[in-house]
Amino acid sequence: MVTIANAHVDLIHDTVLDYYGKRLATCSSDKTIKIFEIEGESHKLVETLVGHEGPVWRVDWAHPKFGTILASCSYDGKVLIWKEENGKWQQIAVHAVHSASVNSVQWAPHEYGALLLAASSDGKVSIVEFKENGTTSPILIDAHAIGVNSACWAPATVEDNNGNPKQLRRFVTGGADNLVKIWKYDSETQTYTIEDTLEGHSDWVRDVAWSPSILMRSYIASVSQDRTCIIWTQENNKGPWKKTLLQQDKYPDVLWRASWSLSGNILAISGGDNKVTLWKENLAGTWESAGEVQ
Amino acid sequence: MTETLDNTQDLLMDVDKYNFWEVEGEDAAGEVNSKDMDMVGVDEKSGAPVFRLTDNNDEQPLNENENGNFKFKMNTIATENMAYLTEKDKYKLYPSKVPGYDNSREYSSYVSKVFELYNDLDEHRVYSAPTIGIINKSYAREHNYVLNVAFESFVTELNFFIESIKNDPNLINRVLQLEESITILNCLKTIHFTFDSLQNESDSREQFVNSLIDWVNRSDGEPKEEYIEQIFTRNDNIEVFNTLQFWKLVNKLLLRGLFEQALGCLERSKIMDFLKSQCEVSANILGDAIALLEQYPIDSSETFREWKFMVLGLQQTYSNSNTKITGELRDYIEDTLLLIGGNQSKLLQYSSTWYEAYASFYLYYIPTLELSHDYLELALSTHPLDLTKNWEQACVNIINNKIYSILPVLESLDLCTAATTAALCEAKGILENFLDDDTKTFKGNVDKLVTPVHGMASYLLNQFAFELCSQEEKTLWPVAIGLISISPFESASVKRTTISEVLPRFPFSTNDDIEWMLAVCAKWRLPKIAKKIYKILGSKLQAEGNVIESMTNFSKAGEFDIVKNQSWLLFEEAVFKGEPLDDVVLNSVITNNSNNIIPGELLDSLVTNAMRQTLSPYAVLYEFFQAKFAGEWEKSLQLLLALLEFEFLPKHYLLLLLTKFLFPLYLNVDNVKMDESSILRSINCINKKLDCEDDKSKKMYEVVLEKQPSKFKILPADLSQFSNMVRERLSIKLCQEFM
Repeated sequence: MVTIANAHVDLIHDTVLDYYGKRLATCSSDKTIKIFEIEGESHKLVETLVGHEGPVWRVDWAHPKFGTILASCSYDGKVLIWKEENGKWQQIAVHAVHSASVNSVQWAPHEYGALLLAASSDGKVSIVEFKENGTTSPILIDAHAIGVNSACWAPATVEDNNGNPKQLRRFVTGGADNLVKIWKYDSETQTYTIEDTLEGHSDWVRDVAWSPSILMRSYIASVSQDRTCIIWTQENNKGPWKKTLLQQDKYPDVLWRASWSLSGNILAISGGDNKVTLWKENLAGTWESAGEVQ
Repeated sequence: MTETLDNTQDLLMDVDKYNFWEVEGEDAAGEVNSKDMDMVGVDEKSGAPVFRLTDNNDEQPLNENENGNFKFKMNTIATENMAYLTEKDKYKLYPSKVPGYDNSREYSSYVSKVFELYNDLDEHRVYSAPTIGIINKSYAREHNYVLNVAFESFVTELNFFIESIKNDPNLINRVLQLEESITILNCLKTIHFTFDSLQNESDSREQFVNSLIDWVNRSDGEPKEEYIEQIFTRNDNIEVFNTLQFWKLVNKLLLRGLFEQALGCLERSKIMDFLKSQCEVSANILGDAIALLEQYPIDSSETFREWKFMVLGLQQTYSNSNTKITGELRDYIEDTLLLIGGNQSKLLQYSSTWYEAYASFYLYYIPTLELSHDYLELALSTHPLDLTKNWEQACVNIINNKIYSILPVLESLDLCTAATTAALCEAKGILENFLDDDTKTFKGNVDKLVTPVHGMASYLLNQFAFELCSQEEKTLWPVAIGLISISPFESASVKRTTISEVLPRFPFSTNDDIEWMLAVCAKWRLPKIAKKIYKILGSKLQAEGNVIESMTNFSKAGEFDIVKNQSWLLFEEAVFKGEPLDDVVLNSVITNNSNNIIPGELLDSLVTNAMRQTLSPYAVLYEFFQAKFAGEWEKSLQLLLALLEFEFLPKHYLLLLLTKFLFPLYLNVDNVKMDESSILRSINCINKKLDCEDDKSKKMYEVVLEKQPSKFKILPADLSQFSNMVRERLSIKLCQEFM
């Protein structure tokens, strides 16, 4: 495989491919975001975005129907929105409602509009909508007392509301209080309320990932400083969440990331042990290793 | 037997015919992408394959025994997942494929063929429970026949696939997995896809027996060549037919339906020569038995009864006869006669596995599926399952009509095979009904992935389609879209939504690809997606520098703002250049002149109404250049003024036209005259539109200054100064005109 050398000059924190798989965005402690064009096996650096005043933790591409838009979050407490038009990149918005490092940022499923979810070390998550006229209306929620490390949207689904289909807008957060929390949009109060608090980890939850597969069962993977990964499942979008340890034995080191494949059938877990483990649920409902990458 | 078989090779089953793949002592872990990622071993605990991100030792993310914060991101394309370290001085990115995806040409061919046969099933993709009535009954028979033929073809395709890759040393484990799949499919075909065809009974029975023999023999490839050779190679003076091992071998071959091979063994042993010289009775009996075995009635249960009657008579005669041979040899011959006569205890005694015993009951006891469960029970009571082999449990489940439970096993071996199996089983109506009739919820603790609305087949087919879509390999995309389209389980609106989501991710590269995408949009009435595709195409062509084609596609996408922007960018470029752009297509478009290079039809197909409108300023600019180069100063001034007065001319372009043309060509040159009207029109434009506080105008002015040739620096450093200078020069021109 062809590697991409010297992508940054300091620690790399995130890499994301755009919707069409043609562009790669990466971010780093060198405070920059880099955009690579992908053509076959070649990755050509086309832009370096400079604007953050601290390490950039995460980046995320918006759905292409909103244009070529990228969100980034940083230790500087800001979320920056970048847009490319006619080959030129520019910063089009700053979202600065957090008082500490913003650790994760993710665009909502496009059905909800240009809606961004940000999680911060100040203990809050913010949901901000970028409207056509440029104004934003942030919703700020106290999520995890000591800090929120990661937040992730659920795929767009519809719930049965006494025979009337109703959009079910949810997301999951993982925090420094060792908890995983599920949040749900309440259209009456126009805010997000807590739906469930999931206890299972004994140390910081480092990452949460909601499976993109739109089956009748919801899957969330949470990985933690306690060296475990838990798969949380819920049937038909309601009822209790069932907890399953991905593997009974603890991993040899801290787990940093959980990542689902597009179809939601493969889960990749990575951590401090120089290894990525790939997992697949068999049809009997148990998780089995699908390989390791070193 | 007409020919003498005197070497081991002749006595063996035809290995090639059964395509048995033999690798001893290997674990069946997957290594499909070993070409792409180096498989360095197998994890001791899970047995899962371990891959390295790069085969270059110098490029490994970390050295051996070195730990680091490794991160991995799955992406929308299976081949573009990204691994990296969050570690000091480790700033490389490792694009990586997920192991387990087979993107070989052979696999593509297998998938396409299997899809074709599923697609050809048409209405037979759906199972409808047969009701009373002649028409429905005949439909049910036809339905079963179609599905049986399809299943047979499916197994054949899998066989072709295995054949095509079996000599690749990198794919040993993959072949082993597929071998396991084909064993399960052979069993499924034998038990559930043979007997209920339209054909007559004899065809069905022949098919069934052949299928049964194929299944049993391909499953393990026993007996091995070395084993047979070992039996025939003796260091003592004892004839081979006087040994127990020899008769065990003959009986094993008979139990497995390998008649030719069993008779070949007898011939090679020269037992008949011995018996003819020693015991006429035994020679006659064995000779008759051989003759009967040569005519084993594979095609009819009626003939089987007569055949078995003769075998039993032979066996009876032999046991009542006095023979000149005594002791063990007589017992061996008698055992073989009992075995082919269907004696249960001998069938069980000489078989070494449950499936050998199970098959032998069909071949020699009573050939009916009605006794299938009894046969299985008997076989398993003597030879328990080997739980280390996935396929054995799966085959037992098939015989017990528990089809659901084999799907996870198949899924772990190959998703395409599993999905197709599930789809064909669902169509055949042999997937067990786990739904409670009253509540429509699942009975008991069965697989929760399957829902009452979306069945197992639907789930697997969709998973498979999505898997194909997540690969960069575009040849299988039509199969993926096809699978979603023809799914008998989803509503049209669900299919449309799914296709809408998936289609724009298609990695197109040729015009044919685009035509195909648009054809899918047309078929599924997806105008929005078609627009999205035009937009993607527009962006791609723009990046490649094909401006006009890009504008055409953006126009079709309804992205008029982009078309407008592109037109203004062309305008800007030409102004800076000081002459029309060197683009034959563009200039043909704005002059509406077709020529040899750009034929009229092509021009018509390229130019949209939006382009005609948005390119009109460039068209005027083009004429301005023509007039200027022809020295027609008055005409060129009028054209320039027309541009300056253009209602939708952005402010910064007004500034650009002033700095590049009006000021240097007309205002800053004393001998070029401007009439009063032109001067007043110019002043009017400047008063209306020249905005020294406009950010874009400021930036544009900076660019103009930068590009100003050092020898001819006539512009002041500041925009407001330039504004004053222009106004001043216009006043002077006005005075000159009055004077």
